[in-house]
Formats: sequence, structure tokens, C-alpha cells
Amino acid sequence: MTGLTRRRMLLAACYATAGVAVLVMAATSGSFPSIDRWLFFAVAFVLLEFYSVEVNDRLFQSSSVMVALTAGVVFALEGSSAMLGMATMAALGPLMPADLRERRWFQPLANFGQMTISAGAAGYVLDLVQVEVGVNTKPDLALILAGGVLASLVYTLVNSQLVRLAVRVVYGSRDFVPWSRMTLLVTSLLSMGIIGALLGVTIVLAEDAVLPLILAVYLIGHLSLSSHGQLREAHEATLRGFVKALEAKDLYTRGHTERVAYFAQLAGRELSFSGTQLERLRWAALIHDVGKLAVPAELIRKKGRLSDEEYGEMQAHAHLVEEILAEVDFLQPMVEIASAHHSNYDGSGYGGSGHQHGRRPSLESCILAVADAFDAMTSTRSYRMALSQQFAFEELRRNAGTQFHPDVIDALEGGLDRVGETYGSQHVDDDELARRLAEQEAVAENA
Amino acid sequence: MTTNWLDAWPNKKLWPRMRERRVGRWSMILFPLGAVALLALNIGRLNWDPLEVMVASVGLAVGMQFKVPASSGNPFAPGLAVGAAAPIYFGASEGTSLAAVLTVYAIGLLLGWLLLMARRDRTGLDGAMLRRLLGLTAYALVFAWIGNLEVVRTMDDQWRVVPPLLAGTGIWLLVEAALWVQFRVEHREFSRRYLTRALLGDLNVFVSLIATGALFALAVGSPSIGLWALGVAGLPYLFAHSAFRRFQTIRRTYRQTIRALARIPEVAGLGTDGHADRTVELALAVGKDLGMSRHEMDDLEYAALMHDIGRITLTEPAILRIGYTDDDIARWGAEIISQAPYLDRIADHVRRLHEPYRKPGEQVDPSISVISKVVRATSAYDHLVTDRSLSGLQAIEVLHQGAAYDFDPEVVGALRRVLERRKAFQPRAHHPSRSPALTGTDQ
Repeated sequence: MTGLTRRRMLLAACYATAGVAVLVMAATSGSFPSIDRWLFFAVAFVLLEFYSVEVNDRLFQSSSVMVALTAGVVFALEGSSAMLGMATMAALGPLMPADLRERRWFQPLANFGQMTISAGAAGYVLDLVQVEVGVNTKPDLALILAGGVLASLVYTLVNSQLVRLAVRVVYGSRDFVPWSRMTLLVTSLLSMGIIGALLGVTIVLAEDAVLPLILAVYLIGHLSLSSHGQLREAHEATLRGFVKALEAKDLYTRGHTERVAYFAQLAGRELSFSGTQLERLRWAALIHDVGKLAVPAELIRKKGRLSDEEYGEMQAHAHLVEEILAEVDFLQPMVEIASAHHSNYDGSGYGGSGHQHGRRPSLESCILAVADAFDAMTSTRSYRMALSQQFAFEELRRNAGTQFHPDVIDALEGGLDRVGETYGSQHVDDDELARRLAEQEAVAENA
Repeated sequence: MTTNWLDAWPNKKLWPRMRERRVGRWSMILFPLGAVALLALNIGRLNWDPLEVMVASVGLAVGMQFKVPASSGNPFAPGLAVGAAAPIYFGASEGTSLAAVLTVYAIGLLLGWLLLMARRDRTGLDGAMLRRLLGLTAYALVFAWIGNLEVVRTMDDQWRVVPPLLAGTGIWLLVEAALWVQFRVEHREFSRRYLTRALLGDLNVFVSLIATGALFALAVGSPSIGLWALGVAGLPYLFAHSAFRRFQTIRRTYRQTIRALARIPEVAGLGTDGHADRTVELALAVGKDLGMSRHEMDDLEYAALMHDIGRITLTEPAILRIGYTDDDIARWGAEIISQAPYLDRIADHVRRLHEPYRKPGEQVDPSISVISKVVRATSAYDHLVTDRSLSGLQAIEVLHQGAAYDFDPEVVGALRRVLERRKAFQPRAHHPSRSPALTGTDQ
């Protein structure tokens, strides 16, 4: 049994046990709500859970929080236990036919625990408020709403923290695409919870005729989340499109952009960038070579050193990025970073239109420059073998303060240490040697 | 004599507006007349608190000033939600209350129209207000009629509102769709089928607006909720609004990306300037004439934009040495496009781009898509008129000669219709090199 499987099993067992404990607690907390209303909400809840949306890398979210909160408020106001009603509903949520068919157990178990705990906690809050309000008296709207807001806050927080923990444990941090714009997501979940609570009050006061309309509101919540996920998908697909076009044109770039993105993120995390900043860095890295699409192919894969003129033309691709991507709105901040990745730390060198001579480029551009140079040295090119990582860092340090940002070099080294990875060849510590080796190999291939 | 057919093409920005003026002129007369008549008929029978009627009217007028982003281009407005709420709130099943509702519609729409005109918003001109007036009136009348039926009157108190609401919404949608399609068809750029499908695509916007309005009316009618109803209906509305805007951003992002990819041959100096843009414009017009669905139109646009992307491989020295055919370009282009996962379908269209419609002595190959054929014909037409400086008439003549073998006769016919409507075949007195309106315009 591998470490990963053991970690997953442990996590699923913990979550599921806690979930069962919450159910037992709920069962003792009060009476079960009226069955027809419970069924209505449970079906809506399970449906929304079923159509949950990937809103971030491997982070699935659904708008079921609305249903949970509506149900909770309704149950609490009719005098039964909101905790019991909500927790039993949530326990059904993770029942996915696909999981059952393929006999996957860890994920549904973990989800069961996670959802039961968050729904139970929110229900507990609602029950407390209901005790304050008193059953069957004329309900005090403001107080119920305050309870709804609090419950929605508890639900969202408990839920997102448990999911975050689970993903960390199950996937580890390697190969982790950062979660960005989480504040936006948490805010929208929170407001969905509040809408849910409002709807609950409406049902109690305006009778059951509003139920069909409430389904429409649930649909709106789902649309909102799925638009969120689709937008992210569109951005990712866009970037993949450019990277693939680049790879189709030039085989040597294959993997280069992805590695540069990875190195840039390692350095960024070391410099304590937020999720959104990391994502921006990753996107900038993915497009930093798009200008090469418009550079003659013979230049890109030329053997031997480039002449000054050719070198200038090659560097101009940084500028072509701007020209090609000028119309793509969402990439504009990234284009700015990418087009300056050939300008130097001291402000000299070639930069895009956003770069002013003598001005230090942005920290993101500096990170990109270091990551690009590091990968160029530690990967095999047509004209030379890969150099060792040690040599690459020596070379970077030699140019620190002029071409490269010293802090970024330290950050990249620290980041690589932390994940315990080494790149480049083991022994080649000399640029000339690397070129000679590549020539020998080419001769051997031709023979 | 060389005629640049582009001269014959009226300025792209002005052209639809000229047509819209005609629709607009009629609605400019009919709408105020109708609204005033509606007001005159109903205001005498009003027995509701005038303040409430005024508040609802102002709400409708203000709601008309905003637009909900919808992909068909139909200017949906939050005012529709207010309109949907009115019969529920005033209880339109009784005659006098129906008068109140219709008064609200008349005053609200007139007021909203004046506001739109004062803000120089073009929605006030293109017949949208007339459509709203007829649609809302139909909704209220059907609402009242169904609400008065014996079956509905004897229903359980709380459910009584559901049947009139559903029936009214259905009729409203029908009226809206029929009028919208009618007005647009007059532009002659659009086929009925295309428009109907486009409108159905916006059903979610319509339904969420109505649901918001109805929820608001039911909540505000309940005495203990009162003004909290604003939150009950307003918050979901905001969510819907942001979701629809995001859906539009998604479409825009894909389009911009594909345009950026399509620009690469031009940036690298490997293609004719503006050829892709002109082909797209013409291909879309042909697609609308053929009555393609929205999805097909999207694919058509993307295929037309990227039909020359294979040219970026023309920097390879080996290829330049051996030489290449159009077929090679199409094949390489398809290879590049198929790398992007969301462009699979487009790659297929581009791959078959240079296959003839039918080889002599063989049956028509049904597996070549209409999209390929349209891009093939429009791209050939553009090459003929820009690179070989033929007149529009000469160029379409060349395509006609190729019809049945090289080009699909149906597509060539549609292209001819499009060009005739644009008066591309009339000789022109002067010919500047290129119409500035056609290069680098963003869609």
C-alpha cells in the first residue's frame, strides 16, 4: 500500500466517522421535519450536488448551500430540528451513480463526512436561533436573517476548510495548480447561503406556492457557479491552444513552457505570492514564447551561436507577443509580464512596450526571466547538452544584480530544495563541453 | 476596367442601422399611439391607490434602462421582471385590477421610452418598446383570462397564481419571439430559422427575469415580508445578471483567442492583409442566408478565421524548397488547430477545405461539411476580387462556372444573394483601394 493510498484512507475514515457522529448528535437534537418538505429539499440538494462544477483545479463546488440554508430555516421555523433535517439531506449528497458503479469509496466517504459536518454545524446554529425566536410565534425577520447569515458563514467556512484540507492531503503540493480568486468564490457561496435563508423565510410566510419559483432561483445559483467554472475552463483552454500551436511549430519548445511555468510558480510561492498572483505568473509563463510563432523556424532551432543580428530578431519575439495577443482582454496583464521577460534587472536590455529603459521590470517579469534562463540551461537544446543545476545557479548568480533579480534566484533555489527536485545533467559543468558533446552526438547520429 | 467590389459594400457600421431606421420609424409612431390608447382605455377604470400605480410604473421605466446581457442580442431588461410582477401584485383576475396593470404598463413604458430617448439609447428606436408593449399586454390579458376560469378560481388559495403565471409567460414569450423574428427578418440578413433558434437560446434569461419578478410580487404581497422582498428577488437577480455576463465573457474570450491565433500568419508576414477578416464577414452572411444554427455559425466563423493558419509552417526552409499546395496548407492548418482541445470540430472543417464539391463522374461526397464549402467559396471569392482584381460580377461568374464540381451550387447561390443585397454588382464611379470599415474591426 503506497503512502498516498494510506493517507487517503485515513482521511476518508476520519471524515466519515465525524460525519456519523454528527448524524447521531442530530438524531438526539429534536424531531424530524415534515417528510414532504424534506423530500423536496433533499431532491433539489442531491440534484445540485450531482451537477457540481469544477470551479478551480480539482475543486468541485455546487450551489447546494442555497438549498441547505432554505431547508434549515424552514425546518427551524416549523419547530423541528434543523440540524437533523440538514445533516440527513447532506448525507445523501455524495451519492453519485458513477462512484457506485466504479466502486470508488474514499472520495464519496470523505465527501459524506465533510458535507454532513458542515450542514450539521449550520443546522445547529439555526436551532439555537430558533430557541431564541420561539416556535409558532410571529417570527422576527431580522433575527432569523441574522441566524441565516451566521449559519451560512459557518457552512461556507467549515466546508471550504475541510475541502482544502482533503485536497492537500490527497494530492500533496506537487503539480499543484494554484487556486485563485478564492475570495470571490467564498463570497458568492456566502451570499448564496444568505439568499437561501431569505427564501426559507419567504416559504414560511408566503406559503408553498413559491416553491416552483424557488426552484428557478436554485437554477440561477447553479448557472452562476457553472458560468464561473466555464470561464475558468475557457481561460485554460485558450492558454493550452497557444502552447500547443507553439509546440506544433517547434519541437524543442515542447515542455519548455510548462517547465518555465512550474519554476516560476516555485519561486513565486517562496516569495509568498497569493493564489491569484501565482496563477497570473503561471499564465504569463505559458504565453511568454507565443511571439516565437511568428519568428522564422530556422532561427529558433539554429545550431551554433546566433549572430548579433539574429539575436536581436530572436529577442523581438518578446514584442510579437503583444502584437498577437493584443485583442485577448483577459491576458493583458500577463502579456505585460511576458513581453518584459527579456529585459534586465538593472533596466537595460530589450523589453516590450511596457518597459522603459532604466526602469526595473516588475517582480513577475524578473521571476519569469530567471525561470526561463534556468530552464534554458538545464534542458538539452539542439546546440548543446543540458548543464548541471549547480552550474546553472552559479551562472545565474554571476549575473545577479545586473541581468537577474538576486532574491528571485534564491527563491527558485529554495523552492527546488523544498520539493527536493534537481534538474539538468549530473556532471556537465562547462558550457563549451556541453556544446562539444552535442556536436559529437550529432556526428554520431549522422554516421 | 477594374472595379473593387468592396466599394459597392456599404459601410459595415452604417448598413444595419439604415434598415433598422425603417422598422424604427413605424414603431416610433405605433408605440406611442398604442401606449396612449392603452392608457386612455384603462385610466378611467382605475380604482387602485394612484401612488402604488405610480411606484410600479417608475420601477418599470427604470428597469427598462438596464440591459441584461443575452447572446441573441435581444435587449432584455430588468423591467420585464417588474412587468411580470404587476398582475400578481395587483391581482389581475378582477377587471378593475387589470386596468391598473395595463395603466402601469402604459405609463411605465412611455416613461421608460422617454428616458431612453433622453439618454440617446438606441433601444428606444428599433422596435423593442413596441414589442414590450404588445408582449406585456398579451401577458396581462392571458393572466386575467386564465385567472378567471372556474377551474382556477376554485383551486387552493396558495396555488391559484401558478396556472395564469405559466400561461401568461408562454404567450408573452411567443409574442416576443414572433415580433422579434419579424423585425429582424426585415434586415434580410437573417433567416427565420436562425433567429428562432437564437431566441430560444435566451430562454434562460427570460425565465429567470420572470421568476425574479413573480417571486418579488408574491413576497411583497405577504404582509410580514414587506420590503424584505427586495432582497429575496434582488439578490438572485444580481446573481443571474453576473452569470449571464460571464457567459458572454466566455464567448468573447474564445472568439478573441481564435482571432489572435488567426492573426499569426499575418503578423509573420505570411498571408494577405485582412483576408481572414473579410472571409469571416462574407461567410457569416452566407451562413445566415442558409439558415445555420447558432453553433454552426460559431464554427463557421472560427473555421473562416483560421482557414489559413497552416501558413505559419511556411517558415520551414524544407517546405519552401519542395513547394506546397493549398491542400497541404489546409492539412497543416488542421493539424495545428486540432492541438487545441476545444477546436476539434473546426480542424475537421479546415482539413476538408480544399476538396472539390464533386469529382467528375462521381457522386457528391456527403461527408464534406457545409461549413467547409462556405469557407471555400467565400475565400475563393475574396482572392478573386482582391488578389486578381476581378469585379464582383466577374468573380461570382468564376464561382458559378465552378459550381457543381468545385463549389456547392447551393452555397454559390446563397453567396450571390448576399452580394446582390449588398449591391456588389453595380459598377462604381470611383474605387479607393480598400474600405476602411472592413479591416481590423472587432466583432
